[in-house]
Amino acid sequence: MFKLNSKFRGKTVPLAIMISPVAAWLVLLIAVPLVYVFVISFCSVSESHKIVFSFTLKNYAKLFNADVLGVYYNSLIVAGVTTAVCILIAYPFAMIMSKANAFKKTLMTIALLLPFWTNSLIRLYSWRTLLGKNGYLNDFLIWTGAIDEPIEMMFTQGAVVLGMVYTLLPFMVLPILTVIDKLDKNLIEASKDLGAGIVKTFRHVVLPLTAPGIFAGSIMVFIPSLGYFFVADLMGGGNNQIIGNLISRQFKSAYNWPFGAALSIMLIIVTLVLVKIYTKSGGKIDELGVV
Amino acid sequence: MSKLLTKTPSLAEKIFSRSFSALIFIFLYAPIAVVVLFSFNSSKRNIVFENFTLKWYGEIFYNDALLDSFFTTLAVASASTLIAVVIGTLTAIAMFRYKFKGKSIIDALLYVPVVMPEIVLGISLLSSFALAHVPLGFVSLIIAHATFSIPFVVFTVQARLSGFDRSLEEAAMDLGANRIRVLTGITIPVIFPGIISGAALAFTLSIDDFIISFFTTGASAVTFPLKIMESVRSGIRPDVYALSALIMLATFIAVIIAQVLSYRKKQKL
Amino acid sequence: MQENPKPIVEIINVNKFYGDNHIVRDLNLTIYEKEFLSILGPSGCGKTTLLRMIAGFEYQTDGEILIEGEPAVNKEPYQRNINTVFQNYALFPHLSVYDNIAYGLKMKKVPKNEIRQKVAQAISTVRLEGFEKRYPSQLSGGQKQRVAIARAIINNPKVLLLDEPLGALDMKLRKQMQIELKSLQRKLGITFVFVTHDQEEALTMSDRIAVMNKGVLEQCDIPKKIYDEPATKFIADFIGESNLFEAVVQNEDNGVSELYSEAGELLGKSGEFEREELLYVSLRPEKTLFSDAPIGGFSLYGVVKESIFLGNIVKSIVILTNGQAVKINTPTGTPAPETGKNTYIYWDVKDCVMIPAVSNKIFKYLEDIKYEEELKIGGEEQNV
Repeated sequence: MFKLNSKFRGKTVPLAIMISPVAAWLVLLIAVPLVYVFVISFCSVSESHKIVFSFTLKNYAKLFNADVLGVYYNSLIVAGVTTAVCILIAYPFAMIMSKANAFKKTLMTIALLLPFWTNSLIRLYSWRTLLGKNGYLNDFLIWTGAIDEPIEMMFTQGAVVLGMVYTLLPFMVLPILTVIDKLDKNLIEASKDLGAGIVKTFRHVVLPLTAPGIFAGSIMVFIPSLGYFFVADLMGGGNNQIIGNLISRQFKSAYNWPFGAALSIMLIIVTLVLVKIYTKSGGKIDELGVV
Repeated sequence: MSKLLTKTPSLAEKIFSRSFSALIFIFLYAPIAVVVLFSFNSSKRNIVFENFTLKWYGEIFYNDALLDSFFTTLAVASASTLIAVVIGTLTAIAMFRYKFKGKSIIDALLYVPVVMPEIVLGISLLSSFALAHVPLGFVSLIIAHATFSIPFVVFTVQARLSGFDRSLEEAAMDLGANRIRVLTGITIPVIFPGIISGAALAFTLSIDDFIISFFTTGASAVTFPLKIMESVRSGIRPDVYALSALIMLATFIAVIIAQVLSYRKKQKL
Repeated sequence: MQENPKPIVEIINVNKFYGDNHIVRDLNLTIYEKEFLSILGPSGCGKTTLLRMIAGFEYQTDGEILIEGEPAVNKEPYQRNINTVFQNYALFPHLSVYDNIAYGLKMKKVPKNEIRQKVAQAISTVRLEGFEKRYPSQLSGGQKQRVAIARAIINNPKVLLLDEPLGALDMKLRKQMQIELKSLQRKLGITFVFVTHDQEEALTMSDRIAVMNKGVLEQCDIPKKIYDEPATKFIADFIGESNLFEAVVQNEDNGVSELYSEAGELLGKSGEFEREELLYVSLRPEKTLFSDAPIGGFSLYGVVKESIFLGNIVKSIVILTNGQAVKINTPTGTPAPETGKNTYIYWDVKDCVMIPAVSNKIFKYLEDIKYEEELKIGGEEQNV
C-alpha cells in the first residue's frame, strides 16, 4: 500500500509533467507525419493534383522509370565520390589535428566548424566567383600556364561534388578525430616493436582501429548528400539532379505528392539499411549526431 | 600518412602537415573571403572586383524584403530555440532520472531528425500540415524548426547530465528543497552550460536551415536562406553579401566570446 | 548516553528489495536521542540502503520506519528533521561555501540576517573561517568534508546521517576527523548515525555499533560487547582478529563444556547447548596461550610457522595438526616458542566466546523462502 503511494508521489507525477510535451511533440510531428508519408505513397493524384486515397502501387512502379534511374545513378555517383573525397581529405587532416597540442587543436576545431555556423547558401553561391569562366581560379590557371582558355568549372558534376564536400567535410573530420584521439599510441609502438613497418602498421593496426570513425563519418556524409538538393541547384545549375531534387520537385512544382512520398520512403529505407549495417558492425548511433 | 603518428615529426612531415592544413583552411575560407570582399565591391555583379565602396551596407536598410527575411529568421530561430530548450531540457532530465515504458520509443524518435535526410522531415511535415490544414507560414515554420532542434538540445543536455552527481539532488531535498526548487535551484544551474550550448546549436541550425524551411513555409514568412535562394536566379546583389558579412562577423564574435568565457571558466575551476 | 534514552528513529521489520535482490532483511533497530550509532558492515551489506531509507531517498518494500513516533513513509526527505552528510559530500558546485551552508535555511525562508549569523556560527564550528567565498572545486577533501557537515548541522537536525564521510580522506586526516566528529556530536547533542565499513573507526567513535551482513542486522551493542562477545561468526571474524574453532558439544559439566573439533579437544563455556550441537568457539589472539605440555581438556597441538615482532607484541602463527592456522599475540618480553618449535595451545575458558553455528537459522531460512514467494505473487498481482 505504502509502496504504491510513495511510487506515485515520487515518480509518476513529475515524470508525466516532464515527458508528456516531448512525447506529444514527437508523436504528432515525427511519427504521425512519417506514417502519413507512407500512406500517401500508396495513393494516387487527381487531375487537380489532389491526393486520392485509393490503394495503388504505381508510385513504386514509377521508381524504376528510365529517367528516374538516371537521377539515382547521378546521385549515387555524387554521394559516393563526395564520401570518398571527404575520407581522403579528412583522415590526414584528423591525424594532423590529433597530433597538435591542446590549444592548437581547439583552435583548429573552431576554425573547422566556424564556417558551418554561417549561412551555407551564400558560401556555396560565392564559389561562382571563384570557379566561373571569368573566375579567379581560371585566371590563376591561365597565369600559371596550365591552361590557355578558361574552362567551365561551375555547373558540372564535379562542382556538385565540390559543393557537397565543402558542406559536409566536418562531419567526416570529427568522428575520425574522435577515434584517432582514442587510439592507444602504445599499440603503434608495439606493432613497430614487433617488426611491422609503417605501411603494415597502418594497414593492420591503425586503419582497423579507426574504421568505426570512418564508417560513422561516411554515413553522416553519404546520407545527406543524397538529399541536399540546394547544393545540386547552386553548383549543378539544374543539369545535375540528385534524389533530393526529384523529391523536392514532386512536392513543390510537379505536385505529385504520392510519387514524392514513394521516393522518400525509398530514401528512408536506404538510410535505415545503412544505419542498421553501421550499428550491427558495432557502431554507436549517438556517434552519428556530433555537430 | 601513418608517419604522422610517430613521436618526433621530421621536417618533411612538418611541411606536409602545415601545407595540408593551410590548403584545407583556404578551401573552407575562400568563399567567405569572397563574400566579404564583394560586399565592398562597387559593381553589382560578383565577378570582378572593381572599386571599394561601403554603399551596400547602407542599401541593406532600404531593401525591405531583405530586412524582413532577416527579422523573420531571427524571430523563427528565437521562438523555435525557446521551445526546443524548454522541451529538450525537461526531456533530457526525465530520461536521465527515470526508467519508464516507451523510453526507447522516445529515444528512437529523437534520432529521426538527426539520422534521416532533412528532406524527409521537410516533406513529411509539409504533408501533415496540409492534412491538418495548418497554414504554411510563420507558425508552421517555428513548429518545424523546433521539431528538428529538440533532439539536438536533448543530446547536448544529456551529455552534460552524464557527469551529473545524483546525490546533489538528494542533498538539496535533504536540506528542505521541494522538487521544483531542486530542479530550478540545483539541477538546471549545474547543467546550465549544456543547456546554453544546446540553445546555441538549435539557434544556429535554425538560422542556417534551408531544406526544412523550403517545405514548411509560405510566402508570408520568408527566411534569409530562402531569400538568398530566391534571388539566385536574378543574381545575388552585393547588399545580400553585406548582410551576410555582418551576420558572419556577429557569429565569429559570438564564438570567440563563448570560447574565451569557457576557457576562463576552465582556468577558474 | 543519558539515563532513559528516548527513541528517535524506530525501524520495525523492514525489508527492502531491488527487483529480486533482498537488500535489507527483517531489520529491527531503535536509534536513540543523542547517541552516536555506527552502522558497520562490508560493502554491499545494505547499510547505505538502510541509511537512505531513514533519510527518505528510498522507501522500504515493507515494514515500518517511525521518526519521532510518526510513520516516515508520508514524509518527503525535505519534511524530515534529519540531514545527511553524503559520501562524496555532494556540495553544489555552482554555489560558494557560504551559499552551500546557507542553502537549508534559505529553503526554510529564514530571514537574511539570521542566516548570516547562523552561517558564521556554523563556519566557526567547523573552523572554516575565511573560506566563505570559495567554490567547492577550490577546496581540499578535508575542507569539503567540513562544508558538508556545516551545511547539514546548520539546520539543527534531530539526527545527522553520515554515509562513509571519511572514506575519501587520507589516513592522517581521517584520524583527526574521527576525533573532531566525535567531539562535535557531544557538543551539538544530536544523534549521529554513521555508516562505515571500517571496524576500527566504528570502535573508536561509537556509543553503539550495529553490525550488518548480507542485509541482516547481526548485532547491535556497545563497542566493548561487540568486541568481547560477538554474536555471530561473521562479527567475530570482521571485528578485530579471531581464532575460530568449529566444534561439537561432547559434554557439559560444571560451567565448562567439553568440545571436540577437527584439530582436537578443547574447552568452552557452558550454556544451553545440546550434545552433538555444532558451534563456534571464538578466541582473540591475545587470549590464546602457548603451553609446553598438554593442559587438561585441550589437545590442540601444532608447530610455530612464523613469529613477527610488532613492537609491543609478538604475533605468532601456529599451524595445527589439521592445517588450521591460529594467531597468537604475546606481549613483548614474555616467553614464546620460536619458529619451528612444537607447541600446545589452550585458553582460559572465561575468555572464549561461544557462537551458535546453525541454531534456528535453518528455520529462519525456510521462512525466508516462503516469504519471498509470497512477495513475488504479490508483485505479479500488482502488475496486473
